Amino acid sequence: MKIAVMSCLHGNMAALEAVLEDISKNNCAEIYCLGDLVGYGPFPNEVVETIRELNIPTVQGCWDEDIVEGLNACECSYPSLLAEKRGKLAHEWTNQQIKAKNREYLAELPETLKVNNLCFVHGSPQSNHEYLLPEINAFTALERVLSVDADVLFCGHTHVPYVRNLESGQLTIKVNLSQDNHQISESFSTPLKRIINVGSVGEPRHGRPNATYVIYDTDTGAVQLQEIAYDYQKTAKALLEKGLPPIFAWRLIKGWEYAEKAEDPTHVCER
Amino acid sequence: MITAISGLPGSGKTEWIRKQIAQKQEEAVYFSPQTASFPIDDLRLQSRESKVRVFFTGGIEELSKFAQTGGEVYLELPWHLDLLASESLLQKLNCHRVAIISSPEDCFEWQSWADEIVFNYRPGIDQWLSRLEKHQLKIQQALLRGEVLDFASLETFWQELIEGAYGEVFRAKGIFDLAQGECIYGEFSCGLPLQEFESLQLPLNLNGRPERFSGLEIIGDNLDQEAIADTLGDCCLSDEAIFYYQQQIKQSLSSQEEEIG
Repeated sequence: MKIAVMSCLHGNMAALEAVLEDISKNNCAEIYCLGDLVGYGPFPNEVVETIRELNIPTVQGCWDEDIVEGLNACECSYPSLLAEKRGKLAHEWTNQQIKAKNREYLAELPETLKVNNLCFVHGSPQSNHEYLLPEINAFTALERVLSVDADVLFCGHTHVPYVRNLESGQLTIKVNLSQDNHQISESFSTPLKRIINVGSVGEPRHGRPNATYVIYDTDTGAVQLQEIAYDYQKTAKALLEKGLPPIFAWRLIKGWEYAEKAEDPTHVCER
Repeated sequence: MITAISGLPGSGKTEWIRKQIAQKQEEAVYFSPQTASFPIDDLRLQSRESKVRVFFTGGIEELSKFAQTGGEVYLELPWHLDLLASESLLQKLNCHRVAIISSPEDCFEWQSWADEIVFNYRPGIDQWLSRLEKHQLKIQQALLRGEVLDFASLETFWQELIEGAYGEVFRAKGIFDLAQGECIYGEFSCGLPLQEFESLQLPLNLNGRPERFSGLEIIGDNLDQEAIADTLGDCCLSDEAIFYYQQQIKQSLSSQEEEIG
């Protein structure tokens, strides 16, 4: 069975429409969404309403959480002062625009979805603010997958898609007993685990404005990364018309994301 | 001897002077007219070359005296300075004139002025030479004295600036004070490989807002001055943040000293 997994829509309706059309063409049986329906983009309500009407199983993203609970991010959300100022501006705008029923919908979204051996999260199982970058050390990566008892962990948040196979994971635990200096050692192996980052529909950061999502075959384990061209000028125009900063439109067209993200792959969110 | 150097922006005038000074044993004097309030090249040269004495204000008699004692004086003429207007001064100082040009095709234009022509191929310059002649290019300066910038924010702004987010930029250079107390230099020339920010050899500023010069100069077309100013403002730290970082750095330096001691 083919399933489509998408993330980080960020109020970009034109991108979402193009992705849904491509999913339909590819005959995917199910669609999952990894959150961040809102934030930065000009159509937060339209995106939430589309996802809700289509009954797409969705987890809560960090932007969705912030719109519900207010800004409460740790330093990993804002890698710079400039990013913080732009992020807060986007948050305030979205907060004013979002309709009550859509805010309620975002509030009810779960943080994790588990379907058989597949797990769906926004950032990581630990926090929807945490970045699972491709460079993150293997131990941390494996721990995140094992913590939800899954074989495949789907995530987003970084806006750059990747597939990481964690093969032949060997974990050794050693405990020193202080009384007699005795050491207990235990080790075990884990079968193949995978982290699949599905990129971003509405706010790509791969140097092109195209939307990305993933088609996954649950029978074969095949991963198909889809990059979909859409009318990004339409979104850029809407950003300007709605009074959002012109730099958002410029960065969207460049495929640079609206604001830069944390670059430290070793940072573990402490929120 | 007094050597007057001229050429287009980004042609490599200051770098040529630095190389001349580096090759010699003796101290040299550098002066660039009309840059006293915005001495980016002056400060960077002073930081990179210990044998240079920079004159920030125009003491022409002093320059002459230094040259008469056998010292080398380098007079960098900024591109926006009217060469005709400075002709009488150059004659009075009996300067040796050097033009730095990018292409042999530019020789004709400079040969009547220069005693010596130096070729320094800069591919980017050819792209905007015609626009310069048509006076389409604008120079924009932002004085940042007293401001302390967040480096990650500056990197983002710099990338956006040179990629054209705020208009077409052909040349940009700036000196910035950072939260860590250091002062850095950044430079961009259209057509040349992007350079890393360079740390200037200046004392760390760890006591409040810095009083030394810092600023940004941009040459380009259709520059959005308001957006540039706003974004730069968003990169600047508050008094509280500056105090916090300075305390952290002082504490760290103090711990290091204790460990060494």
